[in-house]
Amino acid sequence: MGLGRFLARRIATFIPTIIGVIFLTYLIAYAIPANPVRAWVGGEKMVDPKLIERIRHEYKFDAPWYEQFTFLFTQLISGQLRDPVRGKLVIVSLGERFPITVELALFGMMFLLIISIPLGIAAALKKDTPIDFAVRFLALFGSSMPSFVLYYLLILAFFTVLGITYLAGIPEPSRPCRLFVSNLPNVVPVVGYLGSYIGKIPMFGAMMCGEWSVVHETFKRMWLPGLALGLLSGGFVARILRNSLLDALGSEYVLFARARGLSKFRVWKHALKNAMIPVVTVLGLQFGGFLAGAIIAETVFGIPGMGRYVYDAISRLNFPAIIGGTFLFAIVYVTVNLIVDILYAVIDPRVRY
Amino acid sequence: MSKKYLELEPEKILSVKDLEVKFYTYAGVVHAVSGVSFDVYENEVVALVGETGCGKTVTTRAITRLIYPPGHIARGQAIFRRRNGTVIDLLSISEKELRDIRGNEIAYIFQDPTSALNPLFTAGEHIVETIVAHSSTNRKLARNEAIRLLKQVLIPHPSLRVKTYPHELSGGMRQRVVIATAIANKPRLLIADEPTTNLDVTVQAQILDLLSELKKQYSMSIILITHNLGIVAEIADRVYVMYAGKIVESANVFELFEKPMHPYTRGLLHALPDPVRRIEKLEYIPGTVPSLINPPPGCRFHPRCKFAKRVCREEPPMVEVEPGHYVACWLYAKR
Ligand SMILES: Nc1ncnc2c1ncn2[C@@H]1O[C@H](COP(=O)(O)OP(=O)(O)OP(=O)(O)O)[C@@H](O)[C@H]1O
Ligand code: SF4
Ligand SMILES: [Mg+2]
Repeated sequence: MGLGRFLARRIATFIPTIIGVIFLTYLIAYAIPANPVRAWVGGEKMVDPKLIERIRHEYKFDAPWYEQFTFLFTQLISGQLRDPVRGKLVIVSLGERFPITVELALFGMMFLLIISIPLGIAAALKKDTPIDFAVRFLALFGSSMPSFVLYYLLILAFFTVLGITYLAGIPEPSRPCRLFVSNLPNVVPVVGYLGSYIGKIPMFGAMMCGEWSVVHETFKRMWLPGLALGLLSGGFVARILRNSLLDALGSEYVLFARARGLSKFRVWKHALKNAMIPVVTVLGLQFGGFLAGAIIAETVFGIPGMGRYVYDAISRLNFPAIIGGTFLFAIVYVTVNLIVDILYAVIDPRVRY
Repeated sequence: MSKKYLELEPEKILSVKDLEVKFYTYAGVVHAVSGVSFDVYENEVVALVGETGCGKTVTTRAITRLIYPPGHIARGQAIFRRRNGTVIDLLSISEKELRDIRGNEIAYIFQDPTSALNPLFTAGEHIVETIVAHSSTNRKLARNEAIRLLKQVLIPHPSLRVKTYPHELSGGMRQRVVIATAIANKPRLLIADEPTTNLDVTVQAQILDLLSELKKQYSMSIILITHNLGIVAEIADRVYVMYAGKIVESANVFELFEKPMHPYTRGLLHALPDPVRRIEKLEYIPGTVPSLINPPPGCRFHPRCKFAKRVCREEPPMVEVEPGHYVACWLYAKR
């Protein structure tokens, strides 16, 4: 019983999941009949065949597949896997880029909340009115419109025509900034690590240094991609909130709350608390999706995050980088799922670990 | 809000007049309650009996306007004497005044305690918020009061139980929590909607004893809805018999069991071989309950009544056949 055992059990299931994901990625990557090493060194005709031979040997292309996989896997786990194109450790590149992806995901989340919560409540209160139909349309639009089409339309409107945002670079604070929590590692390793890592997210770093102009610039730069992410899933989340709110408002416990003469505010609290249960679940999964699935958004909006890294890696057949990126995506995804499950149990006393 | 002069005999606490409630559904307009009138005296237990779907719950909820779309209170008055002595019509006062009365002067025990309690709120929280909504006590005092109330409704370990969630309680315990919230502000009128259905017999008896006890202690009036004529015989003072959205007969409990007049009431009592033995469903009368979308014209019982005559297709008047014994049936009325 209890949270500890629940966590242990869940984390135990993570390991096969993540190994499975890496193995599948490996299979797909290596099934492609191409000569990756040629792509890595630049594809020019004049490359020294000896160099190619050396790289092939280094990455065990001349060994059987299982040796190759074991090599990649152990290098990945020990953090020694090197990106052959940049010559950098994959883990270092990912560590640099992940905070930018988190920043994008946070902006996406902000817009998702701003769009979905009021719309969901309005659609429930004004059921079967134009507002409700508009939300239904937005949900349909978000799930059927190819994301890149929406992204380019937004860019056309706000960058090309109106020129009120820009699309290159990420505003960063002038110096690395840390919060006091970075002193914690000795005491609570995970919290301390997270604390110092939060400072790597450019906007939070800027806040910690008090560089408010950078924060302002970040908003100017990131609102459009954030809005784009929020628009795509806003209608869907609003619909879920609308439906669960209508269920709650029509329930006997809300009627009983009214029968007890509770204030409007208290009655709403009864309804909303229940209605939020499914919404928290989808919001969490959306956040995971933003973190792991921003490949297209980062590419179109020119954001140098993880998704962009993986996109570049794919176009250069850079398998070590692809596998490293997939590894991080998989970890993000299972972690977000775990957090959603814990949140769920926190909100709903009926859920047992 | 119109200030009409409302009158209510001093011995009455509530007088419902000509209540009509409709539901606008896709299938059509459901005439759930059609011209129901009844009185509740100070300090009495009034039973409302009738088959499932005849409009008992809707009638009692309409008293404090707990009818929401697609439902609509089309007509009627519910004259009520407040604690401070003023007489008001619950169906025309402001929403704010009504909120003052709900849960405070008129309280409900809902039919199904499992769905009436919010699964995300503790037992104690339900009681505390009901107290706080109607007084200026702080939450800490209200919490102590909640523990006292849980003890009063015979919940073991009340100071632990305040913190438990509904799903951790048994059906009987949940019903006690609902009762505790209902009596939290010592209401003048308690509306108990089938407070013992779905409970096993010993728990039923405990809950009924508890209600009688509370009634004495707080000198409340109770409207008791039930299928169970055994319970009626046991604790009710007067009975209203409802059929398909209308009241067909009313009398004091002895009179009704002694001399039932309406063919439907007779059917009910006949269906009960021994009034002491409790049965849950009254399904022995031949025929089925009519649709309330297209109710039969006139006496709504005529398709099932073996005494039905041509005149029964017209509305029978409510006549007083004996002092305090009313029947709506053409067998007892002159044209
Ligand atoms: N929300 C609603 N929408 C449509 N019809 C409704 C609604 N609520 C009640 N009704 C209708 O009103 C009628 C009376 O229902 P009510 O719940 O008052 O019956 P009841 O006498 O309490 O029955 P039971 O003994 O089963 O509780 C029923 O025919 C029911 O179909
Ligand atoms: S009015 Fe007619 S149909 Fe109705 S109960 Fe009386 S005799 Fe039967
Ligand atoms: Mg009912």
